[in-house]
Formats: sequence, C-alpha cells, structure tokens
Amino acid sequence: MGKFSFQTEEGVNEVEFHHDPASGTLTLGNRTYRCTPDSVILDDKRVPFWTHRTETEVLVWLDGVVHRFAVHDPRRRSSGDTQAGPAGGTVKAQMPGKILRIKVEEGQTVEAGDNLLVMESMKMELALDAPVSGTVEKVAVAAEEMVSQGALLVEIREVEE
Amino acid sequence: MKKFQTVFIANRGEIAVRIASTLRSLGIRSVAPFTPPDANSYHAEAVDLAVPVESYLDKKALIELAKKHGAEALHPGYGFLSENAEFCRMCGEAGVKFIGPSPEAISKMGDKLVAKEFMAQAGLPMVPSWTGPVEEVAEGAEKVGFPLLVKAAAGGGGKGMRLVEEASQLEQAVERARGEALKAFGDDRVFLERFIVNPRHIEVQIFGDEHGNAYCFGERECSLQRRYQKIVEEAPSLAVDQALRERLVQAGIDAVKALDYTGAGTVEFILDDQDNFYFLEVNTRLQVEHPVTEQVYGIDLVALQVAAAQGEELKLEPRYLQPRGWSIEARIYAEDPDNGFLPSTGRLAVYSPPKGHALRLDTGFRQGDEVTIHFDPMLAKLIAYGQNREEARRNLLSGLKSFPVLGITTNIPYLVRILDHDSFKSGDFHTQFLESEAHLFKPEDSAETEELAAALAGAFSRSGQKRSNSVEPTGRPHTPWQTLGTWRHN
Repeated sequence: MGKFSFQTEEGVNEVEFHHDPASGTLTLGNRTYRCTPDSVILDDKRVPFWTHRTETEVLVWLDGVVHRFAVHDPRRRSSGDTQAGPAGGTVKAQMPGKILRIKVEEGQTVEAGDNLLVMESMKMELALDAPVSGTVEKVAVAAEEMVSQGALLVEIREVEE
Repeated sequence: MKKFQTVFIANRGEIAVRIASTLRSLGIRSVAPFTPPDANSYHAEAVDLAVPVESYLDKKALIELAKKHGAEALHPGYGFLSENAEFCRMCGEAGVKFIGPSPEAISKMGDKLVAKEFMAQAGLPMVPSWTGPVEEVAEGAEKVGFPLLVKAAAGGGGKGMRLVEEASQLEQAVERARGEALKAFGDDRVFLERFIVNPRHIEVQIFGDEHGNAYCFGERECSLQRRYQKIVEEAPSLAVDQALRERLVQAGIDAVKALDYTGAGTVEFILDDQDNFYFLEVNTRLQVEHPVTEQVYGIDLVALQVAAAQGEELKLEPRYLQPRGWSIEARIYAEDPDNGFLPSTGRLAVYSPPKGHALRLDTGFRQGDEVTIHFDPMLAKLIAYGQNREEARRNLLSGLKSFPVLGITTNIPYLVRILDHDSFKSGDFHTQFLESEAHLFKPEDSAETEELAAALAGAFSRSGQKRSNSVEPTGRPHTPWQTLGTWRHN
C-alpha cells in the first residue's frame, strides 16, 4: 500500500493506492487500473502519461491534462511557507526579469496595496504591491538588477492589528 | 542563372529550422548565427554551420558573416531584420542577395500611412473614412455610413474617440471628441471612420518574381487573436466563398503589380459580415502562419522564395492556385493561460511532440532545452491537415492532446478548449472573440482523473529520485540579459 501526500490550499491531501508492478495494476479504493511505467488503460484505451518531479512539486501529464501537486514535506512548516508569490510580508519574484524601479526605502511605512517596485519580464511591466501593512525591513534588490523566479525582493515587518 | 550554394539565415528558433530544412532539400548549405543564450539551441544544431554573433539585430556583423562563409544570399525569416529596408539595401550593396522584396517595397509598406495611401491608389478597398471642415460633418457621416467612429486626428490610445451608432448621436459625439482631443493633444481636429462590427482578420499570400509574374494564393483566416497576437490560423476560411476569394486574390495581385513585388508577402484585410473587405497592411516577409497555405496549396513557400531570389521565372499552374482540403495551425506558447497568460520559463523536462501523417510540427525547441526570457515565448506551431475542416480540426485536437510538455506551463490546454468550442466548430468567431468570450475558455474541473494522476505521481515518481521518465539537465550556464530584449510578431 502506498500513500501520496500533497499540499492543497485546504491542507494536506492524501491518496492511498496499491501498485503491483508484477501484474501491472494500480488500485485506488475500489478502482483498479492496468498500467505500465508510462501508460495506463482508461476506458479500454491506452493513455500515455509522463511525470516530472522537482524539489517543490510533482507534475503529471495524463491524457492531455497537466496535474500539479505541491510536494508535502513534513519537515517543513506546513503553512505560510509557499514557494511562489507573497507570503506574509515577503515579496518574491513570480517570474524572472529585470527590476525597473524601486518605490520604497528600508524603514519606510507602507500600507497594504502600496506599490513597492516595478519589474519587467517578457516585455511586460509588473507592479508589485505590498501584501500587508507595515515597515519595509529589507529591500533585497536594486534597480536594473536581474532577478530569477522566486528571488526575495522586499520584506515587510507586518504591524499587529 | 546561378543557383545558390550557400544561404545565410539571419534568424533563430523555429523559422531558422524550417528554412534550413527546405535549403537542405534543395541541396543548399545553410549558415545561421547564434547569440550567447542560443549557444545550445535547436536552430544552431539544425543548420549546416552555426556562427556566433552578439545580436540578431547587428546588420553589419550579420552581412560580414554571410560573406565570410560564402553565402550568395540571405534569408531574413520573420521578425528581427526581415522588414528593415536599410538591412535589405546593405545586403544588396555587399553583394549578398536579400531573399525578399526590394528595399523600396519594404520601406513603402513599413510606413502604415504611406502604405494605406499607396494601396488606395492601387485600387484596394479602404475602410470608409471622412476628413473635412467640422461644419460638414453630417454630410461626411452620411458618406461614411453608420456605425462610425469619431477619431482625433492627432490621436492614439482611444483618447478623443467616440462610437456613433446613428445620426442623432453624431453632433454630441463630435463635440465631446473635440473637447477630449483638445485636452489630450492640444489639437481638436477629428475625422470619421466606419466602425466594422465583429470583423474577421483575413489575409492572402502574395508572390512575385523578377519577370513580372504576379500570383496570389487564397485566404488565411487569422481571427482568433489575443492582444493582437494570432493564436489559431487556418486556410481556407469558412467566411470566404469562391466569389469573395476571387475578389481577395485579385486585390492581392493588384498589390503585387503596384509594388513590383518580388518574393513572398502577405496582404492583410479586415472582413465585415457583408463580404466587404478593407486593406489593413502588407507584411513584406514570410508569415508565421505560412504553413497552412503550404498545406492546402501543396507548395513550399521557402523553395519558391529561393527560386525567385535566384532570378528564376515562376510558372505556377492554375491547379496550384486552388485550395485542396483544410489546414489549421495552433501556436504553442510558453505561457500560463490560467494565470493571466504570464510567460513561463524553465527547462523542457518533457517535450514529446505527437506524430501522425496529418501533422506537421515546426518547433524551435527539443526536450531538455531551456526556455528563457530572452526571446519570443512561441515554442512551436502544430499544423494539421484534413480532407475537410472537421477532419483537420480533429487531427489538430488529437495532436494537441498527445503533446506532453512538463517543466514549463504551455497554452496547450487553452488551445484544446478553443478547438473543442462550438463557436470554433461552426466557424462563428471574429477578432475580438477570444477576449470578449474569455469566460468560455476557463479550465474545466478535471477532478475525475485528478485522483488517478495523484496515484501515478505516487507510484511512478519516487521522492528519492529527482526525475523519473524525463531527461537529465544539460548543465548549461545561465546567460545575462540580452540588449535585444524580447519580441513578438504577427
């Protein structure tokens, strides 16, 4: 019996399955599928599938649809530690690009929604706004700097409500 | 007549690969440049010789490389310098034949206003418009017809623009447009232009040789666009019957003759629902969507370009000027349709194009390649042929559904939803369709297979293993941002 755990917005989700390589079957609940390491029989038709695992997610391509599963790692904090996008007062680059303008300084007070900086990626300008109200604790980048996806841009110490 | 031995391809990506493929079949050696981020790219491997250059826009360097490697001719592809009259002239002066029209034709068509005036002279239909003294605006409106747009002469960005549906709204609309125009541009002159409701984008493939032969292949339908970016194209068009096709083709031939055009080009029109078409612009190069024309007319446009550039006289038999069957192209972009179409970058861990007799893939990438922010996000074009439209549609749909790409996000699921949509099946769409009906193209809930996918993830991608049935990274160093930036083209 195997278990696959992945993170969803609601929490940790789990799928229990039984994979028997000898007979080429995959059982979940009361459903049994015949499968090989790269295809599965769905509605009497052989459907290829592909998987790709990175440190943070598992991608499964199945019958033309890509399913993304965030890897659940119990050693990490289970919430507030997402890999992309703003979390709490942390603003990260959602895609690679170039910083065009910085609108705030360290120590400055900002309101949620205030523009922090403007970056450019693939011919588009993106304005990044403060996710929370608070004090700018750190500006980790400078104008003209190239940043990669997930790079820390600005940290804000949130004011207690 | 001297045949080319070596041709320099001043381009990259899928179009460089596609041009090289025809050159190979013609027995011509291909040489292409590559910039540092493209050192391991597919096009650099697909040509006979790849040579380093700092930028795809460095005219002098490109021409010097072409000469140095013995190229008698240069193919500019699309984008980059393909519609740069100065580059075309420089090639000629350096004794390298530019595979395309004359610098005069490029420069005339490159200025959109000059192009409109020129083509109006040549007898191509223009969107009805009126310019004149403001006291006579009512007479002007009658001539233009309703609905119409009041536009600021100095305008742009929609400022000073008003939609007028009937005569009674005209006076107030003109007054307001003038006020707005004065405020925005310091100039209150306005003009009137017919507003085309739900237009289609229709274009024809023109071709000319140096002996005065003018040809025009029938239409391509390119109405499915997002932000002026074409997404799905086809030939022929359901909106065009034989009588309309003959009128479109005649307009194309008139354009070739007026311009003394040589090589391949495209005349773009908008088409209303009364079979009226109006001139938009001329693209003086090979178009991204040229494969659909190649499939239904049974021709190789690059081979024809080469022949024309060699000075050959082209004698196309009438049977080559009749469309056979149907062809549909889908542009595969590295972008996330479910997240504001944000570009997606990364390594193509899985990239396994479908195979099939009715499918053609023009790709600039292979499995394992990096998709970077340096260039256009188009990965490939998948083109399907069928005896009729429904067959072509089903072939393309099944091809897209059998095209696994993992590692970056693509618009393939979005393309599948478009091709599966009733409006696509019936051909009932226009240039604003994808954006006005965006809600129709949201992903469906795929909960049924979600659980199975999770089980497959658990059974076949163990955590100790970094990558399962995908390739290993190539360990390519990351390169700095190019001064060139990114580009898109239509």
